[in-house]
Amino acid sequence: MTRQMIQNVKQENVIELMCEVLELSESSEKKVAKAVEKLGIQTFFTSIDALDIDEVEKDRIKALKEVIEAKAKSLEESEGGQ
Amino acid sequence: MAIKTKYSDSFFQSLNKLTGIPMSKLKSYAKENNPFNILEHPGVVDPNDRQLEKINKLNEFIASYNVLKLDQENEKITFKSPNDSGKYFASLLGGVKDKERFLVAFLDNSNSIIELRTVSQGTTNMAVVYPRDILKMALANDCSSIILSHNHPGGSLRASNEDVALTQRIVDIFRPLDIRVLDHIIVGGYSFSSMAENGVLPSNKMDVANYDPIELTAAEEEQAEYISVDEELEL
Repeated sequence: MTRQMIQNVKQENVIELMCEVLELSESSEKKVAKAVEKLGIQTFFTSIDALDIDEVEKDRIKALKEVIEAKAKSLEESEGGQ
Repeated sequence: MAIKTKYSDSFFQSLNKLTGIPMSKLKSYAKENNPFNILEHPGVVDPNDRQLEKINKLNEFIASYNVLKLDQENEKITFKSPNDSGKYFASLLGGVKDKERFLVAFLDNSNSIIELRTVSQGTTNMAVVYPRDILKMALANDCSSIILSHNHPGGSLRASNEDVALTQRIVDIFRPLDIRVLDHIIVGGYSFSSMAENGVLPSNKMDVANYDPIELTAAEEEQAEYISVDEELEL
């Protein structure tokens, strides 16, 4: 399996988990999956506002972004403090 | 161990939205502990089965996300040419026919995207752009430059006189702040045109900054030179 194929599998797994966590509608799942495939996971999280999905679902994605960013910051601080 | 980070209400709201654990429980636990312990040891907040399932899924997502993020670290989008920005905006606005949307990408000093925001979403032939909103977002993002983009639901790629005038007004507002307007991408269908590439991006002349709302009406259907975007976009 090539490196790119492995990355695609990882990406599919992340998209699937994200849709489960966020409990998105079927049509939004498709839009989110397409956006992650085109933009990559990091740029996807900086482009949430442009997604053509319900505001409520957008808010849940923003909530997920906030939690993962806070978690990363918390880890940085605990590693920096050791 | 002392807790260094003070978590905002918005953070607890986010955690509540994703796990279903009541805000009061989350805040009460976080008074003395790191709230992320809740994800690693959910028992500390005595979750019900549904909440536990959601916490486990969230943990699984965060772990997979971190691995993928490392893999894609070098694939962060940096705008090096009008083609890069055109492909990016066409991937977001391509095929939107029911309404006119105006997006702004806020960039750091290496032209990497900090955040993308929708600043206006109008009808099929009109959107209203409030420059003060763009200004607020730019300051909040501490950006070095911005790229504007909107779609023409009719499919035209030609920058109308109104598009040029709107861009000029935004250039005039941002110039004193040393924030450059790098380009204005117009998306029609699945194609795009770049005002910078076409030589119609207003210069940095210092006009009187005008913060009144800008009405953006439908552009003429006249076709200008454009770049096709393949179905599979490579950014």
